[in-house]
Amino acid sequence: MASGYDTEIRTVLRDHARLRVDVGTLGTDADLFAAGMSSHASVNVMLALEDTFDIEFPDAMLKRSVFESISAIDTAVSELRPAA
Amino acid sequence: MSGVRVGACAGGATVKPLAPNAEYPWDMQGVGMDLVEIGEVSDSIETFGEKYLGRVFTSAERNECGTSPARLAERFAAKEAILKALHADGPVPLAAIDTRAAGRGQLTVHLTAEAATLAGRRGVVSIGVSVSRAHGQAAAVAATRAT
Repeated sequence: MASGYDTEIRTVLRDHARLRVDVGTLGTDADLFAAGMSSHASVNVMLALEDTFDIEFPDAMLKRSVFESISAIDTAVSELRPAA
Repeated sequence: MSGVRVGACAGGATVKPLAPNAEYPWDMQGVGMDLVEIGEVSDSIETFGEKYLGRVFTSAERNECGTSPARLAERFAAKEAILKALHADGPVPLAAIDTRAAGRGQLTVHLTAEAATLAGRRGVVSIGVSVSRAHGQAAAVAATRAT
């Protein structure tokens, strides 16, 4: 199932995650850490997501599982974005 | 798999693997290491500036390291190594781990907030950290000691 913010999230990952593979080839549930994203790169991804979506990740979300896949990120962004 | 021969010491002694989260011998509770490319820290400072520095490092760390990517990379590696040594299984902001230079590549550690809570849950009473850097990379090893 395509995620609601799939395109924007993939753009952030392409620019900041330093993946070993083309992000376009990854499924929404693919493990981003297994695809080469380091813990340091995941911080950059978090900051870029905040800029892209005008959100701020609270301390309670600062854990590996929130950033481990496109679908997990999409879920987090959906929770943090104000309802349209 | 228990009892697998994974290596041998000089005297031929068998070394058995420890399962993740297994109890370590003596009073060592956990160990972790991390490696960071210094260039990635440079890029992060250039791209995100204060937003990056403020979210990752404490004011004391920034006072000690300034904007030196190499020194900040050591601190980042130290934080990640500490999280691994603590077997972090929940959210811990990196700024809840404060590291201070202690000479000869050693850091002292002060934990706050979620990091302190996690250490308390693990029964950790002290953490040793050693950092180093070479060939554009910074590395850190952390070991925790339990009660």
